[in-house]
Amino acid sequence: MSRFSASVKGFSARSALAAATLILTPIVPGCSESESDSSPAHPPIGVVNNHNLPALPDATVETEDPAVRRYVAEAMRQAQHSPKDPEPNGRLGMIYDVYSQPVAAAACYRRAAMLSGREFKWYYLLGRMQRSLGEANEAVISLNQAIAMNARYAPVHTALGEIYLELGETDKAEAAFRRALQIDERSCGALFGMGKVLAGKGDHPAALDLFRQGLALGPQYGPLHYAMGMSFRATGEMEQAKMHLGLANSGTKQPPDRDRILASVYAMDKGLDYDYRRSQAMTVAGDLDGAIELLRRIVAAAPDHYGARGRLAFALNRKGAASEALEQYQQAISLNPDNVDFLRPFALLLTRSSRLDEARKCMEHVIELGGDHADDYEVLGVILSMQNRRREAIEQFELSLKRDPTHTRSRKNLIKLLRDEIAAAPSDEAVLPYLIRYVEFKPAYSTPYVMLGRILDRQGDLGGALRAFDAALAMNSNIPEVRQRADEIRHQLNSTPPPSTPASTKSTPAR
Amino acid sequence: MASINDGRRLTTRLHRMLIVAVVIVAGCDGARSESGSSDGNPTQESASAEASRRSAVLFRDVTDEVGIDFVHFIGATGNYYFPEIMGAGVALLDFDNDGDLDIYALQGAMVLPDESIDQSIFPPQCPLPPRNRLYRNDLVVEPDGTRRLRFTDVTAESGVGDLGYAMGCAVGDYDNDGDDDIYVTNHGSNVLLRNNGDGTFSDVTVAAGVDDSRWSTSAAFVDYDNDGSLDLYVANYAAFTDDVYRVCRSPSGDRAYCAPVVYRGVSDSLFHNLGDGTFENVSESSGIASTDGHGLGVTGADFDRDGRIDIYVANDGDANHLWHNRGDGTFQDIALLAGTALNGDGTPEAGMGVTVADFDGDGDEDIFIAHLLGETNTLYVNQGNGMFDDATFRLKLGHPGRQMTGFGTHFFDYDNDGRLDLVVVNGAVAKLPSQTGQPHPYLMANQLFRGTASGDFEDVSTQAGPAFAMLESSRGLAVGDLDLDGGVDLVVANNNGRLRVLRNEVAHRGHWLRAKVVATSGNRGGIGALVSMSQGDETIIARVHTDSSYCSASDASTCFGLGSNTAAITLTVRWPGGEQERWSNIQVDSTVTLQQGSGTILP
Repeated sequence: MSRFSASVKGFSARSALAAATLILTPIVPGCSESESDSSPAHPPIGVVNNHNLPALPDATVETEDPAVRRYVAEAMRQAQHSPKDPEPNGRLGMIYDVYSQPVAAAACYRRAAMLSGREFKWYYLLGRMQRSLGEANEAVISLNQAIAMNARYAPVHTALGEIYLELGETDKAEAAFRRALQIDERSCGALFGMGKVLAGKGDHPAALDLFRQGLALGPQYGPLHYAMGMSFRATGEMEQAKMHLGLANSGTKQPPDRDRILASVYAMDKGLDYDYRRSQAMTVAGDLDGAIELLRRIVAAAPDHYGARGRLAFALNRKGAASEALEQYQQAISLNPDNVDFLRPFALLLTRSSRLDEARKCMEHVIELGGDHADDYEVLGVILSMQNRRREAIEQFELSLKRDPTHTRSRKNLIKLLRDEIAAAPSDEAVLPYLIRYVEFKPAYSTPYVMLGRILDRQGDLGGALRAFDAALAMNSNIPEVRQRADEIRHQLNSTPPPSTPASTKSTPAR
Repeated sequence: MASINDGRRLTTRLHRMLIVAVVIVAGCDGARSESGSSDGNPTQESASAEASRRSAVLFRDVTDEVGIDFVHFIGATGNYYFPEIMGAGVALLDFDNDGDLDIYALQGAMVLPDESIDQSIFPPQCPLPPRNRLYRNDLVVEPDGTRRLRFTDVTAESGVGDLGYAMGCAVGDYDNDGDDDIYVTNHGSNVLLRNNGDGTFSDVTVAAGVDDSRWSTSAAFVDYDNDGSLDLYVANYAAFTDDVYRVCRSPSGDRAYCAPVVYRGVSDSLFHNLGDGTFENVSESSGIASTDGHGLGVTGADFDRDGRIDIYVANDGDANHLWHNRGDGTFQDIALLAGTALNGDGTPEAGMGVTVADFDGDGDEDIFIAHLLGETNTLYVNQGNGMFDDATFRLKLGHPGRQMTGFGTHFFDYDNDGRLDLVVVNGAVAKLPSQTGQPHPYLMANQLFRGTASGDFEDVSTQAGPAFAMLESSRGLAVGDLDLDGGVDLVVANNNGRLRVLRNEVAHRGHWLRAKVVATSGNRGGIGALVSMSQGDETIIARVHTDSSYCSASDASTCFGLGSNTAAITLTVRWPGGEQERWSNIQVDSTVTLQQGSGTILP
């Protein structure tokens, strides 16, 4: 087993208190508002007292990847070996940070900050961690300390603005976001923050304007989509709201701002999952060769990584390597038989490879799994129609349309099959059910209505026949024999004599 | 400007605890008035009440003295089976209809059937085999108003000692015979226990057709089609079985409980009550089964005020569900557009327990969910039309929540000041580094948030007394007035720990009113009815329900805090189905029973 399970449960809140027995000297007042200098002009502000250094934490990183466990253990060993050196202490914090252990990360960052005294990045990272631990006031202090050391780093101001927003200090938040934008006008995070300030004041149109600017910089940024969705909802634009809300959870969780410090944290993620996520980004960016190479490495290291196999199959298929893609899908499905994300494309590939029986079984399994998607019924319908199992295919297309009446492909396929079935039907009885279903689609020409009318007429259903003939005549009034028969039926039904010459009948001879 | 000084923060916290401890000693002299504020002078109350609120014990752990000896058993063998860390809940119900609340405690077992109790790392501290237990409330109220709260274990004679690996339960009178029945959710088959009305229960699961053999967690009795019979919603958690069991480890190779993402989420179940003692599984036809999730918390409420009960499900790590009741037997998940699927950042959170109430008094029901450490607990405020905004930070609930993993939670008014407060019980699900070396390193303190006059919440946990400083791994929470003194008490179920009874000992509570409803034409317990309490210009609404929190069931009575207002009260009940009925001139500090048809029917 070599998957890293990214969602980590439970960090020590109490340990935040337990690890809190350190004392740093107060920061110089007012420095947080300074933007005069990017260099660390201030003297060291942390006073190291060995007795106050928090202990190095030994946290659990929930992973099934032995390589990651070795990696974290090695970072721990280096920090233990150099307990007074801020770099290995901070580096261990970054590793805990990227593996979602905020308590342990905060303790390491705190050590690094105390040991370095004037390295603003540790205060920035500490502030971020304190925020995620709910220590908002402490986070404000840490970030202001970072700003006092380097006021020209925009992401610190953005982070500070976010905390002020959370604390309900809107004016301070606005000032922080404004400062971030003064430093970097293309800061998606700061635009997002300013937008939230305006949305919070009820000015959703202005907020949306800022969100749109942010979205141009970070089209994948999930929280921005969510905020846009909520603002659109507030302005009553529900379709826009739905679209953006739907995009929120599939996007990235961080703004695409230039943040070299945070980037160095993310670079600490060395597990297979990191490569796995990177492969996704490469696929989306169109770097199929790079993604395929990376994914091949992952499946070589972790043969049971079905996600990587599925993704590899997808990339191979996009590259046109169908047979290898089929093989990878097959292996992914053997590892995870109920994954519809693999089964669907696998079935399509099988269909294209004319392995129709396998494709059909595959789609039947997808439907059994309960997805209940119109697309699934449609694909099964296509497979069945390719196998000349027209009636079963018709059922599937109808099921598809029942789920989604606007499903164009299903509608077109169904109409085509109904026409085929009508043409091939040996008798009135056989053709009637298909004809009725066919005219339900309201074809815009008269033939099917005429056919239906004639059959109903033969069967003695004069009322039905008349309605069908009238529908045919509404499409094409120039069918004299139909008009004549319609008038006869109407006469029979109403006991009124038919006119000797149909009023609208033209002189054109019948075919 | 202050420095980073967690040490000073800790010192302050310890200092507060010392003050609390001194007050406890003083309180042992019996200075506290049992009758709450009723013996105080409201006009002189505010200053002393404020001082008292700041220094007195708010809740006291009375578990030992009331005779509760329940210790939760998790059946841990060192294999870190997922269910071990997730249970269990607790229920408050009046099973014997004697007017006070009894306690039903859910018990674990060995996770796999072929394991024996001898293999357990933590020996069971309960009669063997471990089973659910029912404690009857034998409250005695002396002529002078003194209350002696006492519970007696009546498990054996009542027949409710199910042996399954219990997670939670739902309480409701599904057969409309006038007494509360119990639905137990298990890791494995669930159990419906019909109350026979004579102190005993019968297992009618098979006959009723309500089993769900998957891993069920919270459940809720609701009448979603207003046909007068309680239907049953069952949340299911994850596809954990021994054949898909995974090993998760720490970097040093230590075993750990896996995150829910490791196990596939599953769909929930909905059972429609046919009114003849049986149910029809309508999960598919209703649309409920169309979506999978890691369901943990469930509650029913009418979020869009269309007269039909909707269902809200808190999912662990997945988007939450808000099942909008379309009135034709089907539901549609509208959580995303409603703003309750994700948090304000558009991120799904690890939803555990959920509670719903009109905390801001604007006439609609709001939603609060407890989450994992590092995430906020989240408060979604209803905009009046079933659309919500995440107001967590604005209402000062964001940062305290990030420090804890919350499970059970409930809106209630602990000081009866007329503003709803919040309780969240906490416990970790992954080892806490600070507790390394301890046998069960998942312990956290619980939290109490006071609703303030400005509409937000203040964390008063450190003022609540030692009961809120205890470190335990809490899961279930049920609320109700156990000693019928007008103060809402708490019962907390701890994973691998003792069940706790926390008695409300707020010194200067406000006046109160407790209303029980009895329906004659709908479901007898009036589940889903909306009670409006009007006193002067003030109106507070509360829905009759037993669901919400985490795997737990609470008292169905509606409890209203009235502050210092002693004016007569008017109660209006909107029954399921829409009929409205009014009772007037009700006195404060009383418990009233509102029987349908005995009030004035409103046009």
